[in-house]
Amino acid sequence: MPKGNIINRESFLTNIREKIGGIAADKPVQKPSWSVSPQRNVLAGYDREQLITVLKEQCQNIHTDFFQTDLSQLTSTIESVMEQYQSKTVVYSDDNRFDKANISNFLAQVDSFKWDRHDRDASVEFAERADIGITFSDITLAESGTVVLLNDKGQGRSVSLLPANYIAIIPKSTIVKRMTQATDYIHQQVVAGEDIASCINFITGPSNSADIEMNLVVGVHGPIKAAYIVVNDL
Amino acid sequence: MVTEEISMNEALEEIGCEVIETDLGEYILQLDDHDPPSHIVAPALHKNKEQIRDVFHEKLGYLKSEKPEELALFAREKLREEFLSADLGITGCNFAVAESGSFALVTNEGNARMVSALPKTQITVMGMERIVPGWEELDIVVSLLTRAAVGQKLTSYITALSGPKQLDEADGPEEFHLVIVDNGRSKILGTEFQEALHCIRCAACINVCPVYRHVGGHAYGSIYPGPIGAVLSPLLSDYDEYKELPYASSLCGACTEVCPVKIPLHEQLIMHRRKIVEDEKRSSLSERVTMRGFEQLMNSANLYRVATKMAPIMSTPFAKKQMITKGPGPLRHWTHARDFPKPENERFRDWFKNRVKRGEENAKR
Ligand code: SF4
Repeated sequence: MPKGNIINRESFLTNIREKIGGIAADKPVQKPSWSVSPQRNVLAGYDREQLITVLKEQCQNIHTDFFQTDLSQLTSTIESVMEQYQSKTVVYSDDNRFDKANISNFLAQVDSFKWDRHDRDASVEFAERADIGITFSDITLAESGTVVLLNDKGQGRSVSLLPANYIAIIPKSTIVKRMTQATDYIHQQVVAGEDIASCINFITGPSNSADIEMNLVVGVHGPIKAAYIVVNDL
Repeated sequence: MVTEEISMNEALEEIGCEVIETDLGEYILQLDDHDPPSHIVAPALHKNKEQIRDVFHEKLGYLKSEKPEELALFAREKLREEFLSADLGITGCNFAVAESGSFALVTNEGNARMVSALPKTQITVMGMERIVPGWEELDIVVSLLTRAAVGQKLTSYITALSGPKQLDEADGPEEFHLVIVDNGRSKILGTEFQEALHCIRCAACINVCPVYRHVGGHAYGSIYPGPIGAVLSPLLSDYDEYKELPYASSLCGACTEVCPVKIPLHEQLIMHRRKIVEDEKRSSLSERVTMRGFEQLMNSANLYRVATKMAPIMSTPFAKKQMITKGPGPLRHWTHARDFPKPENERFRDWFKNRVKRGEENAKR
């Protein structure tokens, strides 16, 4: 990762140190240890099946269509969602899970585009006119009905953003309780000195807005319709 | 929001840039000749859908109905062109994460995702207090924000960005700049108002405030309205500009009760009032003289006795049917707005003494 420049750092920090009572510049910051963490009790003891039920119910609150299928039926499920959303052109991320799940062949037969990490213009241009975008979920949060995409390399930020419809394929193994488990994972990456994805998206259903008279409008800048497909044997 | 606080749009327009707001509410306001926001989560709350339709019609030739769905779809199409052609994307920052140099944008519309995916250069403007130590804490503040602001477990999009795009990525900014804004915040550190810097801008205090609900956001004359605005605006600016705001509260404490980060908002408003009156001596001369007189009266048992004896007699010429409607001297300020009941002929202490006597008589009967 190229290093950035920091401008005015010392004067900025000196000012703050003085204001909060002259803390020495070389004194390491001690993070307090929190005495209560109620977030860790949410859905405590739930197994994966129970979490899937939570996820399914939450999908109703977030205007998202929920499907559950075995790997063998995944292609036909995708097909029927595409039909339901009247979608013909597909953009999907460059992710080897598409091969593993045996859906690359199906996608090659329709008007589709695999995100090209080396060709920004072509990728964005296709995503902009595609009817539907498809990605895999990296971590799935049952409580809020959220798919977490660690967008780097061939994932493409635009795949889940520009088309009017969106499908997230959710391997059952990615389902966790809530945001806490996802932030724990990312925190562990940081502690281990690994680079984290340059753009991490927590996506909860289609885009929406309540800016007009507090009326909920589903579909503003991002997708207007969204579907989650949980795959049992992935 | 912080970009409005520092009047960034005006500055950019001055040097010849075309600036487009991308939040639906902000976009509507910008089109309507820069109508100021009235709420920190729903900026165009003061407009109804017919007014929005008219703004779209007048400025962009919109011909459809006032249905929110149609209005939003129209804005989607218009703004899509802007996203795709903009040279520069500018975002605010809900929270920064120190341990990885990341920052999080919390939206429902997806505009922040557009701005951080499509333009080749990105600038993020962050208030200096919006920082948490690590991802563990990000979980907490994001969960608090989305629940307190809109009652959602999480909003549609929470996007955490860590610098520019990498070489093997196609979209995302090639260049990334983060600007951390002080603008009066460090002045608050180490003072009795420091807790106000904990604010996560959820607007819960604004939504429950009876004063805000009556007067609306514009009446505050600050981009931060409601209880938090009344606390923060005089701190970020000064009492010259905002000394009235701490009085825009009934001190009912509903704000303090709902605040997810437990800022003692109504107590801070009282602290402001105390500073304005005692330290800064900004109350009017007549108020100060009256208060001094009141102090003397209350501190002397003899004066108090005489004054309470005299009150019913002295007030008689001003009273009509037991109500004073045009009070003399300092009372005028009160009766200007509402009637003042004429003091009873029998003082409380006398009434209390007599009551005992009467009670005994009653008991004998
Ligand atoms: S003061 Fe508290 S309730 Fe008000 S906006 Fe800030 S965090 Fe929300």
